[in-house]
Amino acid sequence: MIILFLLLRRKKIKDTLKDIARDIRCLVCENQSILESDTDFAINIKNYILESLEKGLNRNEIIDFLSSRYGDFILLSPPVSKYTILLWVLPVIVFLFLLFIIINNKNNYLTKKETKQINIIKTDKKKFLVWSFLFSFLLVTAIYYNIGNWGMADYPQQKILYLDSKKNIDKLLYTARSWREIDEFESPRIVKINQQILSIDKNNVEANWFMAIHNLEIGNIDQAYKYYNSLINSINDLETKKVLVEQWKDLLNSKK
Amino acid sequence: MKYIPFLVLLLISILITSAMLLKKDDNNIQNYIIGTKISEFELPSLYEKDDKFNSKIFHSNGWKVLNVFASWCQQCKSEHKYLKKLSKIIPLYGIAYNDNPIKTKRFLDKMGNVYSSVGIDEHGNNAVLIGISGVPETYLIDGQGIIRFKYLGALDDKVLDDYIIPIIEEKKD
Repeated sequence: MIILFLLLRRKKIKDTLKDIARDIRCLVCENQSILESDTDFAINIKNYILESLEKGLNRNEIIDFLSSRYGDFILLSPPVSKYTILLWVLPVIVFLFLLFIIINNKNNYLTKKETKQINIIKTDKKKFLVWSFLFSFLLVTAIYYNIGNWGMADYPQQKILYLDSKKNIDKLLYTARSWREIDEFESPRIVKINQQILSIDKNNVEANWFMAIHNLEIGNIDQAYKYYNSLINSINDLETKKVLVEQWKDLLNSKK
Repeated sequence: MKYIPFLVLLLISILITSAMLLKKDDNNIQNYIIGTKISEFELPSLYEKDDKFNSKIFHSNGWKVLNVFASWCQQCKSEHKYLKKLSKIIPLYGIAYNDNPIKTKRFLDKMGNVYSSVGIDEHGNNAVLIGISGVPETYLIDGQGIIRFKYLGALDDKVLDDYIIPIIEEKKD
């Protein structure tokens, strides 16, 4: 019973976490929610939400705290306030205004039938104007309300992180390589992606080599040797083995 | 009558464009947090001889600057000379965010340590409490622990001369 209760509680907390995370903007990404993102920032916020849910805080308290620390911009849909009221009301006003014009014009040419007959080309022009306004208005509102969602369309680099099959190792390796060109030091995200590669394929040469050097740098000699050994064991080609062993010796000497 | 919708749309677009053009504020300046108290947190210190790095530091007398940095961050290198400049005026406190302590030490040895004390947040567990969204980030905090200024991104001469130094000089009067 107790286990069942705990499991249910756990599931409820996870659902609430997803529910909240969907509405929180990842500030360091381009228009993504933190639910879709794997950056350090998103992970920190998700951990914070999880902790406070376990403490018993509710959704509103968590969102209030987050917007007090990071501003209203962290909420994906802006709250109605005196600064954002125009954003919410403007489309409605424009719509009503255009509706007013359409109705007005209709009355004009229904009551004056003769003028309509005489100026048939003129009214056609008018109709065209009205319809084009209506259409452009709809287009503008559609853009206005969807522009936030369009940015979410495709994020290949982020999506790759969720895929765990051997096919995707090339993609992961490619991502790791391109990140290494951007970040000069071994940044946390590069370490993370290399650990991920190793969790799929623990004999991967490139990732093992990277982790060995990384652990040597931060002083975890035992860990470094662990990665180095699994690297050496997985290589069959003698020439490459020799080169790697020599490089490793050089590295060790330079550390001393 | 025919042209009124045109004119209205034109007016609205002119209003929006002018509002966008006239907006002078730097997007990196975070106004919403100004006036709020810094949250309570406690971090281990980078150098063992120092006391624990906690929020009590900011509740004692005097204004202080809190700077968030990491050894893997490129921009932190470029802002270092401005931090050096700032450290002559006001005590600086640093938080190493998402960073291995050994690498942080190496980074500070190489660049020169400008901080009175450095706390380490190795896995970013305290980031949300403080309001950190990335590195580098700079807070100006008064004697009561109230945040008076927050800047996202690397400092430069413009930020120092236009914002931080005027605020510090104002409190002296």
